[in-house]
Amino acid sequence: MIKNYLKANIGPCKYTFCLGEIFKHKPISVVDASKDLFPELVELKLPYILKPGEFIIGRTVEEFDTPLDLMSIYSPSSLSVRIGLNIICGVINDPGYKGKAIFGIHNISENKIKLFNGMELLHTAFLELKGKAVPVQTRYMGGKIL
Amino acid sequence: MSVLAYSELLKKITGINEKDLEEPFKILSENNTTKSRLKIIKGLALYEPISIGNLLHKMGFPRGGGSYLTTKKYFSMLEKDGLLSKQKIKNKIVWMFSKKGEYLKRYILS
Repeated sequence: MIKNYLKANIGPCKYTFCLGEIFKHKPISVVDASKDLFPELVELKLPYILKPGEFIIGRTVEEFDTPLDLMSIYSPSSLSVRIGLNIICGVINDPGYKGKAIFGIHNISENKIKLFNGMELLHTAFLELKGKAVPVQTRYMGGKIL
Repeated sequence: MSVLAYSELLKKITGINEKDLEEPFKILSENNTTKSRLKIIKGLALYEPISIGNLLHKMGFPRGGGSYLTTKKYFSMLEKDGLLSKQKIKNKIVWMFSKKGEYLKRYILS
């Protein structure tokens, strides 16, 4: 169900992800999803100091192999709230999704925040489904960012 | 629709059923398992099959008389309860987890 997991990260009814990689958008004139106009991504090295107002994209160490009878819901960790990070995530992980979890990290505090490898910023809770699910088909399968 | 709790997450993520751990943990608690002894058990899971002397050395414990004899006595008690087994290879006795201790080993290694 989850590859590269840490047993210690299995919680009472959730799994806590570790931050593995971070990326930043290169500025372009306009982002237009209808014309597939997306900014290029630059991989940044961890540890990384996130400046106030800065936005980057994070990818987890763990990898999903979600069975068809389960789905999961993402939620920001309380640590991120306490230190002033806004974690932006897709909320739903569909049954059949394989790959790492992607989420946005926005520093909404007035301080610089150090991001490091293994930082716990995102939780997920698994829900059992009723009925049969169709495996998700997405261009982001495998943890692609864009 | 229901949310998976710890035991179910453990089972689905690591493949370990909490019920399978009850017996090994009962045996450990009945045989005076201390913090150091638990460290040795963790080491055994990592390096088995291994002789007591080599295991003590790998885990950073002194491998001399007292430590060796205490570990041997402890392992013998766990063997009696079926958690560990030993095998003679040439002139060395090596220790490993038995079938009963397999889940404990998987839990330690996961």
